[in-house]
Amino acid sequence: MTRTVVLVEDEPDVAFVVRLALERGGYEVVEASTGEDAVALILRRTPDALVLDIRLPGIDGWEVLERLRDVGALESVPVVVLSAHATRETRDRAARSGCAYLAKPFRPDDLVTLLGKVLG
Amino acid sequence: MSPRPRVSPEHLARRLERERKTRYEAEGIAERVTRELYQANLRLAQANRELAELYERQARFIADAAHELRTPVTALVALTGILASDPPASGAELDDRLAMLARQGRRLHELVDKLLDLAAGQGSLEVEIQTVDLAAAVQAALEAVPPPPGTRVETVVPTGVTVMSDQVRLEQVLVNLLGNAYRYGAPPFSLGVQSDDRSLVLVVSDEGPGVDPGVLPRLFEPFARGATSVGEVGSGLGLTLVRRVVEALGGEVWHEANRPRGARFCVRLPNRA
Repeated sequence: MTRTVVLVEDEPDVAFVVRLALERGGYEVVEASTGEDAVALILRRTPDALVLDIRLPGIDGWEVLERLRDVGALESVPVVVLSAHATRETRDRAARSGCAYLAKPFRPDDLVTLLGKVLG
Repeated sequence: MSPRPRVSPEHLARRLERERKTRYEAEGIAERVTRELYQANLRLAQANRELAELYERQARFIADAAHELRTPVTALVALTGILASDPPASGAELDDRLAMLARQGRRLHELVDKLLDLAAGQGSLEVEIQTVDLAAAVQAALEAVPPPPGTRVETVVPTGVTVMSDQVRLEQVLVNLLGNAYRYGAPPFSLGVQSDDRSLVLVVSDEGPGVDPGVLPRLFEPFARGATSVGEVGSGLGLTLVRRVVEALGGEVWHEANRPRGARFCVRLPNRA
């Protein structure tokens, strides 16, 4: 069965290339361009994985995680954090939140490989 | 052995008085020096705080700039990777991808240009005051950034009026404000210039959705961007650059809500006789 990934990314061109890469990797992609939309989307239907940009208009990626986890909506859903803020702080925070982390810029294949790994 | 000379009580009293005076003066000097040292310390502590703040602002600026650079680079790297391993099925699809590459390339280009402009303006921005023909400056700016196809900029500029300012900087300010109006606003666009002996006021306005209220407090800070930003993204440095240039010219820049809708950017510059 095709696995569904929710992709949260506010930059249309980046979202487009990530979607292409994920679809090539055999995933079905559902997109959200803001944190609020992502929360609403996931509360409606739990995906198999979440690919989450951190800097978003409105609430940021961390806040998205917090809101979803507060209501237990992300149990057993692996999360890959994408960030152009390639600092140790971001990486550590992702690790503390139990997320995989990929710094921008990345090669599409790296994301597909990482996602395959976290999905087991 | 000669007898010890006898010191008169008056002599002793005079000597004592002299020593008292010397000591009194020395204490005064010590007190003054202590006070000055204390003041110098306060100034040093203040300068230290300011430096720490400046350092923090710079660090934040660099982190933000790196973030902004990474975004188009991500699109470029990912897209070229996909193009190489999985060529588009149709000509239209190829055109789409190429347009995206070009768009992100332009974005990188603009960002790098503005970063260099800002870097060149670190410290004091050079200003060259000369006689500027207002109508000619406006014309030059409009030629540098023509309005989008099908739109025009209504200009209200007195002809034959000259001011004392920096022509290149003036055009730089206009180019940035007009570019923002096209990018974030909507027609009708207008550009008005008024001048008198003392000052020069430029107003660029549009009738788009206006500035996102959430971004207003940081509007002139680097990389301040509204949640409603759509379409092709700018460098995030245009208004920062405008403010720096305007301040170097001894003027001020501010934003007002346009009536009935849209944004209105005003610049007041001294007419330097």
